[in-house]
Amino acid sequence: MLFGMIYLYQITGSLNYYALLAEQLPLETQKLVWLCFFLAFAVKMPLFPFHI
Amino acid sequence: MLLASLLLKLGGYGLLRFSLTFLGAASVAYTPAVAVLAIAGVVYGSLSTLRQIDLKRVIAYSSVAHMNLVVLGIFALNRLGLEGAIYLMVAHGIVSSALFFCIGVLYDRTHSRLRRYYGGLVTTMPVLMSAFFIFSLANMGFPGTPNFLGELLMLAGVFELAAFVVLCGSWGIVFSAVYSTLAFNGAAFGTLKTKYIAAFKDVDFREFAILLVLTVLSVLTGLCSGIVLEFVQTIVCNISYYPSATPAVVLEVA
Repeated sequence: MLFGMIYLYQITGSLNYYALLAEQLPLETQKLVWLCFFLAFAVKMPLFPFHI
Repeated sequence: MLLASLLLKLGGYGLLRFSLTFLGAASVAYTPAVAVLAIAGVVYGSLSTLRQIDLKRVIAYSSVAHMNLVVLGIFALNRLGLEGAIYLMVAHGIVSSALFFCIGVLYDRTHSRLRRYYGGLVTTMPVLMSAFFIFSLANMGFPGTPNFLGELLMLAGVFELAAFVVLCGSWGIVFSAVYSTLAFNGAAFGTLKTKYIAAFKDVDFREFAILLVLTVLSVLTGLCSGIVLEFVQTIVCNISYYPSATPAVVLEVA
């Protein structure tokens, strides 16, 4: 998830939540960042393959 | 207790905060994959519970199953599902920490959580077993407890997505009845295992106070659910105001 955030910062130049909300990222970028975030959340709230 | 009640919900909060708002298009694209993963988690987590010999692990794996239901509700991507998911998170926080507390009381007495050492406790610790019963009922989604409302809303929301997913997801509720009943019956009813445990002491005032607060909270959110549901509905309405939010979230379903 950290790598996802770093990548997001590189693309958008800011990690301010409201600035990010106003952006419309292209779909492929969104998918990549989403995947990174999702891996972190999958570990945190246990989802099946990462539930330990 | 803190882990179960707060930190598990952090993942759900992150999903709501990040995935549904500015990564909305990707959420829509990945919804089938997440739904499959969530259903697998519900079924696998619930089935894993049946094999556990440690009482704490039973509740821990049931938390896994419930959180997978929450993710399923979030990725229903309509207001019903989101409301159900958030409400289920609130309910699970109360009920799960109460269950961990009940087991912690037992652990406090004997320093063991193995299921084989506990049986017939209802004769010597009736107050604790009453609380354990109420929270076991809540865990399996008994109507009148907040878990029921959360699961109902969530399944109603997911039904808009795909009816088959609801069919698989509701197995989670069936299995939760199985393992909750097994865990409670094993500990509460049956014969008192005096071979392993010599002395039994019921809850003292401090533990009773904690159990009372948690019971009142769970009954309040279960029966007078409008109090919490208003906040939940405000939150869910606000999610759809963001410009790049998941387009499906803006869809007015209930």
